[in-house]
Amino acid sequence: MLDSFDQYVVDRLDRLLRFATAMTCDPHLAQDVVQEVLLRAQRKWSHIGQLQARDSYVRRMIINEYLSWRRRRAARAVSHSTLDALGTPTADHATGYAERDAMRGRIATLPRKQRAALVLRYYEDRTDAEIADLLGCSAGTVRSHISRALSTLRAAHQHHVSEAYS
Amino acid sequence: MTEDRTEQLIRDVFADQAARAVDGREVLDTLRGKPRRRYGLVLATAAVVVVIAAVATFVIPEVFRRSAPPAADQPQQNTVQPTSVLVGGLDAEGRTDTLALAQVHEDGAVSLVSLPRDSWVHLPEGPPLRISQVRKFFDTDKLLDVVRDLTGVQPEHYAFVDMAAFADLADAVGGVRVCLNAPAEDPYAGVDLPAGEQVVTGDAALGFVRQRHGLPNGDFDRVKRAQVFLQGVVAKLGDADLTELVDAVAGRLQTDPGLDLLGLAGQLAAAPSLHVGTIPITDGAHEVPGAGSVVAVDPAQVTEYVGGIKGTPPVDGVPCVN
Repeated sequence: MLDSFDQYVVDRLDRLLRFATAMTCDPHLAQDVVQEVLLRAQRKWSHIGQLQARDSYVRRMIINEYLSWRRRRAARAVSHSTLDALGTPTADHATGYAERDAMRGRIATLPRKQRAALVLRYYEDRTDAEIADLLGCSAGTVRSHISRALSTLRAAHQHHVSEAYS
Repeated sequence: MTEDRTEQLIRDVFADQAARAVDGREVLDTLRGKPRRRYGLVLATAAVVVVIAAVATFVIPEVFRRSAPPAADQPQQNTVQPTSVLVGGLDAEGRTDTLALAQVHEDGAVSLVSLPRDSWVHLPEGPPLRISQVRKFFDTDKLLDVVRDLTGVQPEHYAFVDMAAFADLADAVGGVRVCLNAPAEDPYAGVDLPAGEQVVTGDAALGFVRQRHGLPNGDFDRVKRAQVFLQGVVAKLGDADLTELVDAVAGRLQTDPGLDLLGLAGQLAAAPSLHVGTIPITDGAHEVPGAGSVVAVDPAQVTEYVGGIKGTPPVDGVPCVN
């Protein structure tokens, strides 16, 4: 007989890991982040377990953990761990692989809040209001994060494409 | 609203990335076995060290003797050469999942001090981090520096072994004798073994070492199994195909170019006593904002402990396990 926390973890762990992996671009960082958050959630489960929106609560914890994860280290670690992580392409022989690969590299260098907002929009299909709630900011700020991220990525994408075909 | 090519690419990238998520079992194990986890890691470190020591002690001199009998004019190495070797077990990502400082002392005694993988260490520059990450984020030299600053001992050498080497060891020695208190069954680890004494090989051996589900004491039992497994390996070394045994470990052992395994083997074989311990911790569940729960350590305390490790009693015994 599983208790409420165990049941939550069994039901949600895989989704949480996938979400965190999409956000961090690093499966092992994602694992560390999710693990730390769940250990903390476990201790506070008498409170969290009562919440209607407990899944949102846990996701908010995961996002915050990621946003604050060794802030200074992360900036430098991009060159090591993230690029290492990026070096493992998924099996995909469709055309446009190079394009996708370049995009992956670009996303990895975006500011974390922008990246979190993008994941919530394009992986989780959340609305501006939901993203604002999860990121703890206004819907206007969410829109600005996403539009800035998109313009950075579009510019880079144009550059990549024009370089490839020039 | 139609999406442009950039947005489609973003979706594809996130879907690809999400698909790379790790299996959740390790997280589940951690959540379920938390209180015993850190102790378990200590034992796992000891187990890795046993592999290295067993190979260094038994296998290499044996091969050496067979392939090239020592010449009469070769100087006898009877004098003790104090040294220190940082030994670790590497996970698939190159993190030092287990780490220990091995020392040969002036009187020949050998000591092993485990450094928990979540030990929170400070670098001269940059933010602190878990000791298991140092080698991955920087390099082995940085890890050696960190260990020196923490323990007061500058490791002269290092040896890291791929944890996966455990698997091939069983076959190389033609099966390992183990004893189970109860039948073991775990489809995840591919284990289905009866209770009592038995000889395990290949996948069964790997499953025996890997099983974590359904064990009364979780990770603690798993590490206990790794220990008795390795003791079983050592017991079978006499019958082993030595070439195969060396092959099982050879490609998975990384050492510094200056490490004389033969010389070290001699030291280990001649050791009058073996002292095993773990560095003192000031807080086993220290909360660091942004990094979660880590193991807090105090370099002054650690240095004092490492200096006195020879005062601790040695270990023995090969019991039936859960």
